[in-house]
Amino acid sequence: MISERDEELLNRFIDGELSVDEAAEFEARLSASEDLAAVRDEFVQMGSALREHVATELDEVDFSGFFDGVIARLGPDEAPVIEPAPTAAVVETTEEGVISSMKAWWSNNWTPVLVGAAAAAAIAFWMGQGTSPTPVTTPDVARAPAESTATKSIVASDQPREAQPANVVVDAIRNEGNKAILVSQPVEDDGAMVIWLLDEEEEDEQPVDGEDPI
Amino acid sequence: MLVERYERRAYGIAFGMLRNREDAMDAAQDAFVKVFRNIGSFKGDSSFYTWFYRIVKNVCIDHCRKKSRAKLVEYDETYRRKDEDPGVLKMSGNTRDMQPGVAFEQAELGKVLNEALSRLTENHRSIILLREVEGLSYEEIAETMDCHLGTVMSRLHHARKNLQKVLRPYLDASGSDLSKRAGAGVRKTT
Repeated sequence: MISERDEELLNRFIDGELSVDEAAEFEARLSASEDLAAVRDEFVQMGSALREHVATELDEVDFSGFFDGVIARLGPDEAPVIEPAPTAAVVETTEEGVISSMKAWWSNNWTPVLVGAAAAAAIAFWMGQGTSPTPVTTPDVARAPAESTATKSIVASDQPREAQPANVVVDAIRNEGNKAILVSQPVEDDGAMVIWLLDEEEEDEQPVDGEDPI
Repeated sequence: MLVERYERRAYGIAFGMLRNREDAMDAAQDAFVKVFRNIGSFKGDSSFYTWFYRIVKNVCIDHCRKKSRAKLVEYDETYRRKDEDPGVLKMSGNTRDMQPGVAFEQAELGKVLNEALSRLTENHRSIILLREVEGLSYEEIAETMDCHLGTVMSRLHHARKNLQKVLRPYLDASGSDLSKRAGAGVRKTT
């Protein structure tokens, strides 16, 4: 005969809801009562059968159109927005963005720039007395928006660009002489390819004969 | 993704309540629509599953009302249908003649389990599925079903007893997998 107390403890035992002391006490009861142990076995087996049964039934259900079915029930403005993860550096193309980034760069780097410029001027004065020094730095793609006034040309575009285009994802960067060319594809794919020329092409300054190239 | 993660569980809950595949699929998708529309009202006071479960359950209740199937029977510990006796469940087929142990290997068991589940009250069915299939603790079940721990224990006990009466002919006392869980009944947090 199984008491109500045993039945209550049995359920909690099976479900892992007994304390250590209670579980030890109940295990002793299970060892002493074959009837209680048999019910325990039946309850445990029922649980296993239920889990297996539900899993099997769910495996038979085709969920391939489930998401589309949900979306179809949502209004056009209710569908969840799925944004693609950024895959490359994003270059701010708005004029405000370029100016603000230039200001930020200048506020962080004005000291070394001025020191470098003063040193270059002193060396030029000492070495050549008036000859133009070779540029100290070469165009740096990473700092380009802040260091140079970018000129852009749009090629292979059938439609005029808006005044303030969207962010542009840079697909490729290559250097050709003094030019750094960024080939981009607008986020909103309209088929246009954008090429950024970060520096005006400079004429190669050939040193005058007999002049120190430095 | 939210849908991908919870679609099976939503369907499982809905099927547990509606016992019909098409209705369950319909209700599960409707539930996600409600989730998307009301995600802002989820404040994190309870687990997402608890919140989600209630949405699916409410959608299923609405679904039943609309379809006038009235399959749901609200359970009251003091109330039981007079004609309800799980022990005399009419089985489909001659499954009682099967040998113990062999029956669990047969596809027939699925039908028996489905029929046994369908004979449980909605609360008993939900609680046994939340415990045995979803693996929720008593506390989580109480939160999900918005009831006391004592009610959880009582309902779970009655649900098991009712299932046991129906399934006893198919339960194999010598099941080899039973020993694996024996002694595993210690609560992790003491």
